[in-house]
Amino acid sequence: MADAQRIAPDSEFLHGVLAAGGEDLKKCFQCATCSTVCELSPAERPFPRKEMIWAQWGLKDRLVADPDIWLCHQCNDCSTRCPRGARPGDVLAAVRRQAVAHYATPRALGRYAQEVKYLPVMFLVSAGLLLLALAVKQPLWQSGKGVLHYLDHPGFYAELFPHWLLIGFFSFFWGLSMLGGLVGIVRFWQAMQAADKAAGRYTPKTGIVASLVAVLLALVRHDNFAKCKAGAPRRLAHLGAFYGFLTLFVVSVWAVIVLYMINPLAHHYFDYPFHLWNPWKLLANAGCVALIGGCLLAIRERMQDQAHAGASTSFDWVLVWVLLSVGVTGLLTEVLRFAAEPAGLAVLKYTAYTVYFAHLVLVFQLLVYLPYSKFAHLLYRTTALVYAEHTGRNTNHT
Amino acid sequence: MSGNGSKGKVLVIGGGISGITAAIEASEAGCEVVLVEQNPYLGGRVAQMHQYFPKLCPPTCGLEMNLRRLRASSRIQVLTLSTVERIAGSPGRYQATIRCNPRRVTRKCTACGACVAACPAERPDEFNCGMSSTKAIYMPFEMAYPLQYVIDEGTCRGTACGKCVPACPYQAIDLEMKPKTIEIEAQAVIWATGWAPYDAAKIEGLGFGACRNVITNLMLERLASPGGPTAGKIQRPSDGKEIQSVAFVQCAGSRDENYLKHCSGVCCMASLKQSRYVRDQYPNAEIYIFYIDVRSPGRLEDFYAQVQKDAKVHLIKGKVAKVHEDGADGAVVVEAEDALSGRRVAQKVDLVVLATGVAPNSGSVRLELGGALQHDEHGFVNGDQPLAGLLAAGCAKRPADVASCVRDATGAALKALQCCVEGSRG
Repeated sequence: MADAQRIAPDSEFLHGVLAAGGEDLKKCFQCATCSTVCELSPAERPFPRKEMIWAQWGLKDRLVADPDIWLCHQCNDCSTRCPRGARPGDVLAAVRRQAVAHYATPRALGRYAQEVKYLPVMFLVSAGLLLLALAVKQPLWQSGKGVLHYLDHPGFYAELFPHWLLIGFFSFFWGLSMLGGLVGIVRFWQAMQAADKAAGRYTPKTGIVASLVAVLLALVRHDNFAKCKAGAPRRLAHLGAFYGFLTLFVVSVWAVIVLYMINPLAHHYFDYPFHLWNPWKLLANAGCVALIGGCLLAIRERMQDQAHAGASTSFDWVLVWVLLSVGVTGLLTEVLRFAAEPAGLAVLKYTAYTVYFAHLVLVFQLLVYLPYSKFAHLLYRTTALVYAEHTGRNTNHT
Repeated sequence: MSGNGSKGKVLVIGGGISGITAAIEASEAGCEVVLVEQNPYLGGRVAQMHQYFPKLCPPTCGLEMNLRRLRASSRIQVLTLSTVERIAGSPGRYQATIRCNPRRVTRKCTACGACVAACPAERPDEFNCGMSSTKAIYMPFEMAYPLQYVIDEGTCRGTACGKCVPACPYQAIDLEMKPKTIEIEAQAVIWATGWAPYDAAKIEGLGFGACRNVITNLMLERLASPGGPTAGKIQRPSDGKEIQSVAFVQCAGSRDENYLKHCSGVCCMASLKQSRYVRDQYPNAEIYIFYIDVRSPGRLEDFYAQVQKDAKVHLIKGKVAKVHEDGADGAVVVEAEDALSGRRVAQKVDLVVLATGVAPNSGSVRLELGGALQHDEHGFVNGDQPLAGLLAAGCAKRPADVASCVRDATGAALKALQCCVEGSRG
């Protein structure tokens, strides 16, 4: 055998996949039903049949450099039709989790953010950092006592956690983690490129910017979800969570712009906090409802239709519940601000601050750990889709 | 030994190749045999085949030799149109209740066929997988044993019509023949209940029932058979057009935990065989065989190697998962991934043959023995039963080709003989 290749199985990776929802991997006998029933799989080198054998052989290097694991949207059409119950959809999900850990920068964060046993630690770290930030403003022991005092001021929550501090705090930590995420996706891109170059098939078809635009346009409509046969609930759930989150993110950025750029220059053009009937406030509330609705739909789908939703691991649940909790605590924070009148009950005021603090911890959990949690799919799937568009892999479907 | 010089009695349930073999072997060794068959003829699935693999000879040949042996034996009582309803008793002394349904045609029948023209009622011909029809009074197939017409109870309008009665020159038709129930005693019971083709309509995505030119492997046997609905011409069911291309879909319902979890064992060889006779009939036809892996054990590998040499037979490693009709002309597209090249294939063909598998068929005999018949996880009858003298042979036990069934049935006959000897000593 002149072209014999020595393969280097990574057994740790293999066991990781088996443990993370891909426990049926070894049942696969390579019949390739999965590649055929998948509506997203391209004509050349379709997935997930090849990924199944790579995973069985522990070929981590190939899998983490494979855009296809991210082209999958886990509708599990393949798993329901698999004649062996090998559940390729769940295996790819487990491989993606390993890929997130592989590209995590710094690497240790990837490990801590993925293991559910470290979840309390991660929450404590978030809470601790927030308390430290509060201490910047004034000693902690005074914060508690001062709560009632703050309530008499119109700024309310901002009195406890001034905007400059809040924005500075989140910008710093989120910026750092997204820098890690950026390193991750650059490494991912390079790995995909290197694999294609080694196989002599790296022939870009579309520019990167044009590819990104095409991918984002498809994302706006959730085209790929529509192709999966998984049906309306799943697409609807993701649409809700996606647009809900996006809306809240955009409104938050706009609020920062209003506070620090427009209002100082235009003599307090906007009332801040926004009035309840302010279009931005309405938009934020609509986003919050969409986020909560999307998460509830996702939870229902995961609990009721396990054949399609697939194995739900802690990796999946943590993201869904954190997202839902961010939405719920956000909404409660808002309601309590209106409910806790300056002359109102002290218990309401304490509740308001507690919920607000929990909300901030959850936002930290969601945003700062983004590149290391399941939320990282936002980075890696987008990168893979752009790469697929860039190399023409999205266009050659039968 | 019982008083008439016989070595005892064996009940054989099922008159296919396994049941016939077991009955003959046991009777030739001196046992009395009651052979019960629910169809109006013997031969079972083998009678429906066009050719055997690997020799490509017609099954009627081997069947005829066995039927000759069967006729020569005075110790075999053949009960067609009959089912075993109940088995009671204990090892060494089983009592069976057998229901014999009326044929409504007596032994006076000479198979002249004068009745057929007179009969106004039609029924789909199950023997041809419903691809043709017969009158309510019909001959199951040209080589049927017993060579007697039969009246289909469900279709016949009975004495209200009665047109066949005067049409028969031999007074062989008795429309008022009644079912009867008989009781027998036996030392051994052999389950040779055979198999049923898996219902292709249950398989998701393979287009059976939805696409006109998707058929099963058994239907192709009938299409190719000289006694079949097209007198042996393989053609498209939709328009009777000649075949330019055929796709064989292996493991259609087999090795699939959604349908039959087991490997049906014979479908690979069946499709390889069928590819040969399609190519004989259409020297220019292109054949596409989509498989997971080809199972051709032992010397059958030589046959596989022969087929592989044919440049017009394309073997594609990948299970077909999507089948759809393409346009109005009835062409069918099958989709798979060619796992060796790593490319998705969408092959347009004239005819798609689903290699549907072997489903177990153990019948519905009521056992009153203080123990049920033991089955394996796939529903086949276990070869080892806790009660002595309860035996199984052929495809009732596991999917198998004809030659294996014959060997297995011979073994079962030996086991039955042992029970009879034990019984006579006791």
